[in-house]
Amino acid sequence: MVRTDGDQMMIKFNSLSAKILLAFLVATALPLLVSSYISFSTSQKGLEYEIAQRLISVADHKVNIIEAVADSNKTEIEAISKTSNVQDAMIALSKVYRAEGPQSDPYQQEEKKHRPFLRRFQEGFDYYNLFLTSPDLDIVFSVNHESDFGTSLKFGPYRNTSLANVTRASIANFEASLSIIELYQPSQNIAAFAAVPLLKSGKLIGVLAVQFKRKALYDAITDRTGLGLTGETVVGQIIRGGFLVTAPLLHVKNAAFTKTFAKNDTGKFLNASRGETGHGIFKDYRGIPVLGVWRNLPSYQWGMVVKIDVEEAFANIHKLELLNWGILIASISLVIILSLLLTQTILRPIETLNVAAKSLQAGDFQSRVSIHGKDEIAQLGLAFNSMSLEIEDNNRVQARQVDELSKVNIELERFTYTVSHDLKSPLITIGGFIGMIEKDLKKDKFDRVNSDLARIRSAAEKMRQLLDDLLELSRIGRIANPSQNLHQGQIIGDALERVHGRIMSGKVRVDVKIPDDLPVVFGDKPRITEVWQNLVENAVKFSIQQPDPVIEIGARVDEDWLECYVKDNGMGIDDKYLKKIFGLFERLDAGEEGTGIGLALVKQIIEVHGGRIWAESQGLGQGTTLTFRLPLKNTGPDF
Amino acid sequence: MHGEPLTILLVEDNPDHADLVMRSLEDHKMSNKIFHVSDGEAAIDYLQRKGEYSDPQSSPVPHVVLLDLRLPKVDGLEVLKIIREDEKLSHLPVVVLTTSNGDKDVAQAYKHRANSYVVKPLDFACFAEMMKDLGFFWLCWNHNPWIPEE
Repeated sequence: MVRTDGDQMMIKFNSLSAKILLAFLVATALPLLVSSYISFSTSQKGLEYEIAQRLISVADHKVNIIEAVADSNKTEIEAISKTSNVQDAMIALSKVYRAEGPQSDPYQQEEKKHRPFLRRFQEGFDYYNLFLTSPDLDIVFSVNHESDFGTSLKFGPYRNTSLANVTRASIANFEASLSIIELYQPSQNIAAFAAVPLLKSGKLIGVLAVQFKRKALYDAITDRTGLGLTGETVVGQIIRGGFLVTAPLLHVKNAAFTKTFAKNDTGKFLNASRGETGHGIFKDYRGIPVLGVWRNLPSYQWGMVVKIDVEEAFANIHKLELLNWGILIASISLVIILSLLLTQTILRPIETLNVAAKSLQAGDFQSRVSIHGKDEIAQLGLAFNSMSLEIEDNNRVQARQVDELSKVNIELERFTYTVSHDLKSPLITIGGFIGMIEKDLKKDKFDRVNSDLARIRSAAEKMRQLLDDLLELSRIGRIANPSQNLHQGQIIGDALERVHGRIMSGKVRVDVKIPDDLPVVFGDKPRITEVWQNLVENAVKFSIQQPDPVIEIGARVDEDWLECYVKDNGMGIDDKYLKKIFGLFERLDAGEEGTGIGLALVKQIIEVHGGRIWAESQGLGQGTTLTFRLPLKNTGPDF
Repeated sequence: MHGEPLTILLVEDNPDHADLVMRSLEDHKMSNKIFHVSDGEAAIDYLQRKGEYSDPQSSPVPHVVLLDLRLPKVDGLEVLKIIREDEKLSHLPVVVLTTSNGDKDVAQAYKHRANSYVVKPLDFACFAEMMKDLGFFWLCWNHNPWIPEE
């Protein structure tokens, strides 16, 4: 995985975030998916069932209404047939019609007598027409004198009409009969009839027939209550070669008795016409899938299909399906977003920590993370920061120690090297001059023996001194005298006393310029005395060649420091050697006496007291000033 | 040898050692003249003819330089470096003659193109023998390039 790039907006599918996402999806989306599928399919079935049931009940209701209308028509007409007025009119009109003909005055008079109440029946029951037919099937009366009036239904032009058929049927069955609905020529319209035999004392005296209004026929059928926008009722009857639509259609104008469907499209109607019932989804005459219920209308011997477009019927199911998908997708999106948010809030700090840890690992010990909040990750961040800080501290300490160690190591290497060199030197001298003396003695030459012996002695003495000084130097680090308040004036006095001999022999003038109120410093008295002694000896050594050697000793307070100096008027030191003089075994002059340890010793003592020392010179022949300063707020030497 | 006197420049801070070297060489009549300087600065001044060494008669170019390493003022290695960087002196045979047998010193000396590195023996017989050999080798057997003085 790579470092966090600011503009990398894509979610990094490192294993952890992928795991979290997967867990979320499995834990929430999967059950959601399953439950939503179950609930959807349950509600879909429920809805489908409900819709079908509704349609079935609509269809059944329709059948009932249509049948009830037919029944009530029969009942009505039977009731009318029982009235004596009608029977009287039948007998009278039948008699005068047969005797005189419909155009005769006696018929006209007779008809005028009966017409009002017959007309009242027609109007009262809202029939289109009302007929009285004689037992030998002559139409002897009709309210509306259409072309059928006065014709014979047995021999006349309308003998094959539904009126003729129903009239015959009622006589044959001796009960009220209903005709099928079909085109009726005299009315120039679709018509249906009801006919009932008129009996007087058990003897047939004629037939009462009524023609229903077209609208009344189709009211129940065309009523689209409960059928929505696309629902309709299709009724029709089987004819040769297909199925004739017998009622108006929603989608085809003037379809009744004009529109015929091919046989292929008639399956449900065939079933329905045969008296079967059922429901299902099929394609209607337009070729559009519909949910339909098929029923038989026995009174008319019609098949009826009540149908509604599937698209509308199941619109709610479709909506439900969409809703379901919507909810599902929204839920899954929510789950993904939540899990990503969670992943981000958890993983981003972890990623930050990871980066910080890697950078720590790579050696950046200042690697830190910023902390937000107080959660576990924030605590982890705090722990990381404190660990990082500790590592940084440790590292710093370690680096310092390594640095010190390497310095000490270099110093030590230099030390052993120089020690071996400086100890070897006198040995070579001693061995060399012994050899020289031996050679001279063999040749009985004595002139150089004394001076050679002096060199041997001096070399041995130098070695002793070297060993003493080395021992002294090594003590500074190990052996400390108890610290005390030091009065520099007093210490300088002690030091001068020790080098008194040399000062006297060198005829050196010493000026001491120490103020009386000089503050005390806390330190190791013998060591500080040693410092002064060394510095004065040094000054004497370098000024002694001068014709008028002078040493100036002084001290003063400079802020928090006590500053002391020893100044000589000797040969001075070249700038480039000013620092070198404090090095171990450094000697500027070949002939110079001493071991080269003195100033190194002084430096060491000053430094363990927390002070420092340096040399100044105006150049060769201008004298040298060695200055050291000690802290006034000293707690004693720090060994 | 172009008829010049065979001279040696001895750079040695320890006067005792300088005496021992000079007396050993003289015992074998090795050199016409040995010039002794006791620190690095003086050695450079001598070779570059500065100050008191400006007279070519009294300070002739030596045949060989015997150079101690631990010297006051200017360290022996530094002297060697300066010799090698000086166009007029770079050919000069330089024999490091020192008490140190430290590996680092040997390596450094050769790095700065010392011609030889010898350690002063503690035993006098060895010391005398070595001086004799050094003298023979560098003054008799060894052939220096001839560089004309300007």
